[in-house]
Amino acid sequence: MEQTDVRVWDPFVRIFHWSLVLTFTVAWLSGEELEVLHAWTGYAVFGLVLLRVVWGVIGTRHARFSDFVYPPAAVKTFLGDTLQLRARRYLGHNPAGGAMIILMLLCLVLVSVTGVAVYGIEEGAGPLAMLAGSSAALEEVFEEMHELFASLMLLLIVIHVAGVVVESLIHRDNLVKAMVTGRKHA
Amino acid sequence: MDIKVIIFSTLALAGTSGLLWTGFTAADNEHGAHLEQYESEHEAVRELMQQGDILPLEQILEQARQHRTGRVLETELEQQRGGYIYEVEMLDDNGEVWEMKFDAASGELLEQELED
Repeated sequence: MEQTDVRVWDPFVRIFHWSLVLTFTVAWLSGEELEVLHAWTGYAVFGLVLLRVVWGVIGTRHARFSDFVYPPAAVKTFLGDTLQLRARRYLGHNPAGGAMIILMLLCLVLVSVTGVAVYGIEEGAGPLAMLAGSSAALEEVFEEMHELFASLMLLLIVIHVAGVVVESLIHRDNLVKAMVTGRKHA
Repeated sequence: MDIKVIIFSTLALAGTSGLLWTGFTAADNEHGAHLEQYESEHEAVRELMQQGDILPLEQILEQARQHRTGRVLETELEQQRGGYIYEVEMLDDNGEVWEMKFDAASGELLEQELED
């Protein structure tokens, strides 16, 4: 049977998604050893997040926050339905996916800000270079927070990927492919 | 295609590749920066020691042993804050691994933390 495809994800959303995957991966891997590379990829992550937030307001239909931010109760209902394998299909982000995007964007902002603070204190470099010379205790606090939020981000990514797999199976969609081509079956 | 989509896509692509490129280049430069002018790492260390920029490693290890007893696992000389620091990793008698950072010029203990 011939299936008709519909455009769902615009080019920016797709470029954003895979650029974020790439830059976050490099940032994660360079965290311990290559400070300069870590800092630059961190800036890239933050820049991408900023663009995505603006795009969430002015972007195309399914890219907008108004399209995928649901009340917590709706997210709960959706997750309950998913457990019983009877969740309805959404063309754009489903309520749980939408909540995950918000959580990940928030987490990335926190990782970035604390990271820039550590960089400023420890190296006297970056946008918060004026923090250089702050107490070692303060640096320790930011460093712990930076690592905590980064680990939390990793956890969110794992749940996000699990959600994508489950959703793809329930609705016989290939959501990974959709994030590449931008299209889903109607 | 919508002009907004083109602008945002271009920004994301150009920004990402530009920052990645800058990062990799900077990391590469920094890695070779102070070693390039010397024939070898060995020579670099000797020269820095003669200039008084760094203390000999033995002196730092002596310092480290005053703070903890145990086995030294790894030592590293790193460029940081415009100077140099020694990083010493030690396995203490309780089986815990500590990372200690010393100012390479003064030998002062800057920080020590438990490795996870």
